[in-house]
Amino acid sequence: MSDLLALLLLLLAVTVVGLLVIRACGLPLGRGWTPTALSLAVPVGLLITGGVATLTAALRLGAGVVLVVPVSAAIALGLVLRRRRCAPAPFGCRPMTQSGLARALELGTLAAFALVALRTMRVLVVTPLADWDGWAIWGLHARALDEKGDLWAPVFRDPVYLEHHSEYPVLTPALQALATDAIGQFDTELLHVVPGVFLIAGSLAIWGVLRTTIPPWFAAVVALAVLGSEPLLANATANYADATLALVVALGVLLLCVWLEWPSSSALALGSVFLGSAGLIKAEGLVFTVASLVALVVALHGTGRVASRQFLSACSWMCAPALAWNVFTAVRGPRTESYDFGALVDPGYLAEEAFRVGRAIDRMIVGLTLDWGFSVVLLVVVGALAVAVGAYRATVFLAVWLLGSWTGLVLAYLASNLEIDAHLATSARRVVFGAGLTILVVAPLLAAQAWARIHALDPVPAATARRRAAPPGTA
Amino acid sequence: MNEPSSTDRLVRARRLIVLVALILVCGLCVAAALGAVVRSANSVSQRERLLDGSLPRGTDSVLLLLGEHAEAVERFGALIEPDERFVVVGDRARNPLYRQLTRYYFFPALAAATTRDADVVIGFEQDRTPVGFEQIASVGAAWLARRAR
Repeated sequence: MSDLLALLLLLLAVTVVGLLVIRACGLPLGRGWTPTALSLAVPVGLLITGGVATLTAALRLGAGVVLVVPVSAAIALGLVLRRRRCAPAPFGCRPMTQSGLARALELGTLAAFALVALRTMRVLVVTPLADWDGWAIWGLHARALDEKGDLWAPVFRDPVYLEHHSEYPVLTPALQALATDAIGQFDTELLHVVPGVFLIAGSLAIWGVLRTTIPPWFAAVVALAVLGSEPLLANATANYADATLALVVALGVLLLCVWLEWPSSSALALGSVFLGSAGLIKAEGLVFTVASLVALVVALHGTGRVASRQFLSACSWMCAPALAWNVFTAVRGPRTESYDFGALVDPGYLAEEAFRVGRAIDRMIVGLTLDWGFSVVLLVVVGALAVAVGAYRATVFLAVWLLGSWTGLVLAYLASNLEIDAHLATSARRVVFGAGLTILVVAPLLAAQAWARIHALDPVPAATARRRAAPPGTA
Repeated sequence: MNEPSSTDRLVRARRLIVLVALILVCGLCVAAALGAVVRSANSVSQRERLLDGSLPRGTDSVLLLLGEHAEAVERFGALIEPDERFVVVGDRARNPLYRQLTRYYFFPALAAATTRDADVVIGFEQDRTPVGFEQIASVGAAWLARRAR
């Protein structure tokens, strides 16, 4: 069997797992929901399968296709059966029909998307594994998982490998080990298929979710902008995990914004899948997840939805994977002590290292401006909208999320044991991917909502009608 | 003639702001998409040109080259035949983080774990002294000679 066929079969199995989980979350698969469900199926399937592979590797059961795919499918099927008596819970507000011109625009943009996707994948599958972290950390972990099948191999436990960060989450290396198992050999170039599929499928899923809330052709334009984003492509070709994390976080935050505006259990459940998986992709994923929970609590203040069983259940799903991973790595050891968070409660340390805060914020803003200039302008526009229309839940949520996630990242730099300038020089530009991408993805939804609100809330039409109906001189 | 009330004026101002914001959001996203397509096409083409010429898939040997001297790595790169696949890890000398990390890396273990199929590993001495060009060239020449046999 050729490598391509094996990978396509694996992708098909992952898609089936994703569709089952989407159905279990309550999103209808048929009628007008097919594009949304299908576009979400691949990233959801990858996250569930990668999570299961991490679990089986941690339990020393192995991380091969023969074990992981059936277990993932069984878990997804179990979730579907558990929910079979619940009614479907669609989200969004758009009618499922659109004009011929709008459909042609959407299809044209999707055709351009397909062309860019094909060319991107063509390059990714022949890219050598040459960048440092992509090779010495992520590639090393993928190789160890492929060869040993568990997370107790020397690469993860021997102090010799301490500088290779065995405590890093392994969702993406586990998926790469699965792909390696499917084709039967470790290929340092085909490893890039995993970040590539995340990039393409994640961008397509953004279209799938956004098209339920804004004109579908415009959702396709946003997806194309995401797919062609140079920083994300460069990150994927380096086999880094930042682009994957940014896509997963952006999708999670987008789904939570949708849930805030149109309360639907499926949006919240799917948002939980994405944000819950973020902490299994990179350690800072937990920062974004916790920030989103804090933002949800603030945005929902006074509504009673925070105390609901649905919300509390989503909170636990979002935090459990990353917390479990951190407990696992603490028990297994050894960990690279790159951070000393205990120092954050030492007044002497804080006084001495306070300069790091300004330096970190400065470097992160520079990174955001250099790579995500459009997003910075969009953020200003969204701010103006909040002033004009009055802040509503989704805008409050985005503002608090941005503030919370940046606070978390700055605290991490404050607690870093590495030389701070070098640490910032090598990472600050990458850690802002999540913020830049999320703003780009959420801004169209916020703008559309502001437009709808100003029409729904403003008394102009009614006042104008009254004046027109009144006899002259009576106004 | 009816003068618009202050409330109406406020409402109209808000509508105008939202309308301008909507146009801005649409314009920015369309511009981002178009720019992204152009940039992506350019960068993909550049990568394709690089990859098509020097690093095809399917070759059966890997040379792992580790070194801190950019010049040495670059010059040795010229010794590699166009159809050879190799991995270069170098040019870290100017980056203080990598200088710090490389002090603690155990390169032979790393190399053995990551590239079992490497024919030659050119790395650091046990005292972590970076190899120089002469060492790289001699080991590389031996590798090329062995391949030729």
